[in-house]
Formats: sequence, structure tokens, C-alpha cells
Amino acid sequence: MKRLCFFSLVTLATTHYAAANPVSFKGGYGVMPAYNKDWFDVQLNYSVTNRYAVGASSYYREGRDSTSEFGIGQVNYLVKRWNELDSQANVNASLGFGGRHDSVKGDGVAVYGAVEADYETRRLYSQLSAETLHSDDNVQFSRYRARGGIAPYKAMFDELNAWLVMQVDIMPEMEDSVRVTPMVRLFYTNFVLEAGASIDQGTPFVAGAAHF
Amino acid sequence: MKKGIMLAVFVFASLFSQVAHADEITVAVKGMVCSFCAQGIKKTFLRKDGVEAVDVDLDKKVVTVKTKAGAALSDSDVKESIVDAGYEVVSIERKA
Repeated sequence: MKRLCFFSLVTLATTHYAAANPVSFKGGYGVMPAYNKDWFDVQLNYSVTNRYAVGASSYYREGRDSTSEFGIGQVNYLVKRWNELDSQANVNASLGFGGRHDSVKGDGVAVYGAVEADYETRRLYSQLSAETLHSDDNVQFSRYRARGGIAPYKAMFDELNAWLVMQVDIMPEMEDSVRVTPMVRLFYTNFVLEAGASIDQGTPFVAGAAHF
Repeated sequence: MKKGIMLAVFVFASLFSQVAHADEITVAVKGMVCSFCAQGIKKTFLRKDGVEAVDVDLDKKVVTVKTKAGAALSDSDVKESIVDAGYEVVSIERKA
């Protein structure tokens, strides 16, 4: 029962933090696009403080029976950060509200929720996240993601930083509902680029992030 | 007369040195493990008028801030920039 409650909480709150934290630094702007063959996300946000950001997102999903597009205004909140000398961990949450257009069911109202937890050192990286898009007529898409990565070397602040990451996505409403994607994750100054392909289908995955 | 000129030179020189000297501030910071995220520290400091340059050393876990000649950056300014970027200050040291 406890497990079910925990899983339900994660599900209800649920993410699309592909490449970076959804809250950056006070006064910072963030751009986070992510592409897969049957879904596409892009979020623009502005961090009002180091604890919360406001933003607008667009989500495209190809489901089993229809294709949906969502436009969402959202608030991202840094629930908790643990700053240690050799590590950092974060819990973020997002809530959003907007509209949806579905190829079969037409237009409707939509809500968005997400939670994300991550822990990283300069050599290890891990992340768990969940997100959900709910809208009228029972049109909904969820994604549960787990990630783990290692950096082959400790990069300095202004050097190219490379990571090898394994990502597992579970998307119950999609045709190809489980995807395991090894990828390369690169940082350089205020830019992130991630690229990989799923093991079974070879589905390409590309994501990025930039903070200004 | 000679003493007066020397005194005037001394006073002028000390005034000038007070106005023109720059500080180097070394800040030990907790949580700096990601170079992409730590870019926010550089951006936050460089928004302040008196800051000349910022260097982040992930190995030593320190941020070095050089102020412009004559500019002042208090400990609370330093702390504010680090916190606004999402990190925690461990210590602040200054070199004139």
C-alpha cells in the first residue's frame, strides 16, 4: 500500500527535465528542447529567484490512436537542494495549465505536473523523474524516466564536459512504451547537448539546454 | 616648505591608493559539481558593477572574484551572488 501511495504521488506530480534543472539562477533564462521520433518538448523559462521559475512549454505526442499538441504555462519550483562539498542533490516540481489540440478529440483544457529528483558529483549523475499531461476527454500522456551517468574525466569549469548516460523511459500511452537509450551528454559553458538512440528500435533522442 | 610638499605628496598618494586598489576575493562554495550549473555564479557576479572578472575552480571548490579598481564588494554582496546562483558560501577571504 505504501509503495502504491508513493508511486501514485510520483505519478500525480510527474517531467520533462531532459537536460537541466528547470530552475536556474536568479534572473536567468532557460531554453530546453527535446526531440524523439514521436514526441517533442520545448520549454522557455525565467527564474524569478533561485527557487522558482515561470515558463511556457509546448508538447507534441503521437499516441496509439491520435496525435496531441499541448501549450502549457507553468511554474517550476525547487523544493529542496542539498549542497555538499563534493555533491549536489535536488528535488524539483512543476505545475502547469493550458490547452490541447488532439487530432481525434479536438481542443480541450490541459494540466501538467512533474517531479524530478537528481543527485550528482563531478563523476556520477543520477535522475528520477515523472511527468503527466492530462486533458479533457481522457487524453493523457505520462512519462517515467530514470537516468544514470558517468563522466570519464573531471572537466574544469570552461572545458568541454562529457558524460555517458543511460536513460530508461516508460511512456504507457505511446506505441513504443519502454525505451532504453544510451547517450552522450556534453556541457560547454552555458550549453548542454544530449544525443543517443534507443537500443531496441534505434529511435533517435536529441535534447539540449541553454541558460542565459 | 620641503616638508609640506612631501606631506602633500604622501596624502595624495594614500588617497589615490585607496581609490585605485582592487580586491581579489576568494569564496569557498558548497555544491559546485556541475560546470553548466555553475555558469550561473559567473553570470550573477558579472551583473554587479564593481566586478572585473570571475573564475570558478571546481577542483578547489572556490570562486575567485576580482573587483574593479576602487570598487567595493561587501561580504553580503558576495554571499547574495552565491545564494542567487543556488549555492552556499563556506568562507570568504580577501586579498588587497
